[in-house]
Amino acid sequence: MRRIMRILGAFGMIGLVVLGASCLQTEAFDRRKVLQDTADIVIMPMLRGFVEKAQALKVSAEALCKSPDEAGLKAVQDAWKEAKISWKKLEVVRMGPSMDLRVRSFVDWWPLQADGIDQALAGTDTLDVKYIEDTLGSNRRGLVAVEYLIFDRDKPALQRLQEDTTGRQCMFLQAALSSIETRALAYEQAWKADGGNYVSEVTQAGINSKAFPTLQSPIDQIINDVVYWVENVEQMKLAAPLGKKSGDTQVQPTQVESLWAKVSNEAMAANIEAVSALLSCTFGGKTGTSIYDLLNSRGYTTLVEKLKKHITDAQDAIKAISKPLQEALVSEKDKVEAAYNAVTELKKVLATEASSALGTVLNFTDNDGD
Amino acid sequence: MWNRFCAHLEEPVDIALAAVWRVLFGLLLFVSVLRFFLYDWIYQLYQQPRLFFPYEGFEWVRPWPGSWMTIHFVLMGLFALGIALGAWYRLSVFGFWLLFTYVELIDKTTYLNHYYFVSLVCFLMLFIPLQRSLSVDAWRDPSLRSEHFPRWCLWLLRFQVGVVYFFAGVAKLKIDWLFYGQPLRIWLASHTDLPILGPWFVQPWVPMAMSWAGALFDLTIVAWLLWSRTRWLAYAAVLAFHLLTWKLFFIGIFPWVMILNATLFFPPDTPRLWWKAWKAWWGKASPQTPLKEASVKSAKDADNAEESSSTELASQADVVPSSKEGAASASIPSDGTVTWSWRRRLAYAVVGLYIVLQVFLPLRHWFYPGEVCWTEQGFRFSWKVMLMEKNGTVDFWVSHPPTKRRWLVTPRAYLTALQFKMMSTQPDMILYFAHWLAKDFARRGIGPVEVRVNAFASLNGRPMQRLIDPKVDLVKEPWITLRARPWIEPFRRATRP
Repeated sequence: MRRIMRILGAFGMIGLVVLGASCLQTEAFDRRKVLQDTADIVIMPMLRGFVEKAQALKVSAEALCKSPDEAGLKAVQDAWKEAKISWKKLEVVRMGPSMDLRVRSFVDWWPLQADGIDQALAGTDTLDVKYIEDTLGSNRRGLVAVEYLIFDRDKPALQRLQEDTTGRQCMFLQAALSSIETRALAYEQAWKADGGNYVSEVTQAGINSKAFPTLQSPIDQIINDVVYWVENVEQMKLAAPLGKKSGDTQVQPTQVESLWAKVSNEAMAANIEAVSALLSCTFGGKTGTSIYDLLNSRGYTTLVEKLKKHITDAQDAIKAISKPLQEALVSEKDKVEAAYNAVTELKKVLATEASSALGTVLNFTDNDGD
Repeated sequence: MWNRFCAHLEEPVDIALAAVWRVLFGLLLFVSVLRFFLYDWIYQLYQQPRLFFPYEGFEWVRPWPGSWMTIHFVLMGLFALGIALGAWYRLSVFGFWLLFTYVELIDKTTYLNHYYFVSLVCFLMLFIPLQRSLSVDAWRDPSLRSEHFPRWCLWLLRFQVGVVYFFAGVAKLKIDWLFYGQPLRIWLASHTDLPILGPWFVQPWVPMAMSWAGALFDLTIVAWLLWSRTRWLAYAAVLAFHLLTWKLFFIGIFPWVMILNATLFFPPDTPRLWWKAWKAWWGKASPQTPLKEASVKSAKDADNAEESSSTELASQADVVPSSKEGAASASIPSDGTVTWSWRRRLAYAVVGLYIVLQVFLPLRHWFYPGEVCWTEQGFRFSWKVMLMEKNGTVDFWVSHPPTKRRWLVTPRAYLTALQFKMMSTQPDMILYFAHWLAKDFARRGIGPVEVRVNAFASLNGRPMQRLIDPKVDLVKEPWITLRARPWIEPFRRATRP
């Protein structure tokens, strides 16, 4: 009898827990909506935006190669800048297909190995997509290689194109842009619901997702991505040109990201804008439920304000650099230093307080355990 | 009194429980090794990194070159199976202990409390004759067979398990844990989607209640497991506790190891009783039982099972030692006194020293100033399990005074993601990397250099604080020292997590 009472008691306890759970309000804050909105409002539009810019760039380059003139070149240069800035936003998203398809290594890997491109142009190999993707390394293709071809260097770009009797510059340009377009489309397709459906891996995290075993893990991934990119801006795009990484007392203008188009500042600003978009779920005039909202729901309102302030500070400091970065390093070094300091502060808050408040873990190994 | 106590410790008890435990423990070790292959950890943890964070004094422990590291793990797997099967038991235990401990000593990055526990238990198993039953060795050599082993063997294993729980409980007696419910508050908030329990985690009082329950569980569970009246309820709590932690956190095989280890607190003849009950239920006798039927007794009171079985077995042992290794226990005269040979004295001294060390190590952080979760001096090897949510960032500045050159070094360029994450919050790893950088610069012909760091960390959701004094040249600070490290900035608790 006592045993039966004990068993009944145990089942009664379990029943109370289950009943209590059903009566309790479920999670006051819907984290899945953060993932759904971040995918729908931020990531998918970023992908579409880049695909469109890459296609527009390719079309403008085809027109230029048919009749190389000043207006055509200007159109290609403008299209390149738009594609570049669009990519700089998208590159902050590092999860899933970005890494699996090695998108960055095909689309925009820098610094460029200019000698490799010169050798390819001077050679006799057929310059097609296969050659670009299979023979040339990451640092001799993508948007940086295109920048090398269409912007003024030792000679004006138009003059170089017009003087190229072999047509190899245009062959390289069109092959490189076809490669970028193909990779952009494949990347978008991998995310789309009617394609690789990676979007569902994110939004169905913890339910029906191989990539993300828990609902928390995509949020961890986003935080890891934004920390990585803010650190990248700090170390590679500011510290290196400032000469901090090479032990030089002099600045290193050749270390800037965009040497010929001179959009290094815009590229950094786009990275930080993407960081802000991923945290605030605000992009293209639309706003959704965000990681900020999640932090607010857990009482970290001060931290949210701190993050917003540091992002604004970093953006303002980058905007304050009024000249192309390679020139500003010489004439406005204090402003570049200020931008470096502002980005460093942002990195510190993201890597410590934001990661801590969200309980972020590395999705690397469960050796991350006790 | 002492003699009687020692005689009591050396009385034989039923080996059945420990033998079954050995089989399952060996299988868990095998699974643990298997996971290194399945998840490609051999490459990621021991072949991919450019440098490793060794333990002080163990700099010579390095990964083997080429595929030798894979062979190392293959051997570990074979030794684990040897333990499970009781085949070449001593060699298997020694081999596994040596190879496993070697791997764990390679890199501080991969330190885990349960890996430390595995090393300790394997070390203890070297001295415990667990191959006497349910083993290939006993099958191959009948003279080895025995259904009992000295009581101290069982209690040494129980002590080791008890140490883990108790000191994990002591470690939880902290302000953050008890008064702010941290870091559980942060962690549970990430798991509110869990079926049934998830909705509870949203309630503000739940992290606090679970923190207190967790501390009480760790501090007292051994006592509840030892007391027959509460044993089953306590084991149910063990199951619930560890299954919940398995579901909530990435802690590998730790929950399964502890679920298994808690069975050691059951009466030593429990498997026999279960086997007998199973046979009775099945309604037919098995032609060959895995455990010797003869020594099964019908203990109604489980609490007395160890006592009565040991008395019964002691009388058998006094007459005819049933195994080669059982001869030692047979040397106990029937009057309960112990002959103090030099071997016995040495054995007691070693075991005594081991016990003192196991009690001292978890408490050694008391000798260092400051919060142990912040300084991490005395943190490892002290069962501070799942105690903090700590995140950090660190930049290294290398300067060369003669040329006034100064470099900002990005650790990510040298370290794996896991190494970088672990190093960024652990002062001793930051110190080691600073020393490594100085040597690396010297190798490149730039030296001597000074290395300073900008290190910040956030503990249990607090605003970040500076972790290390940025003015201190870490190259000048000794890497191997037992002294407090004054260059670790003091922890400001004033800010509420």
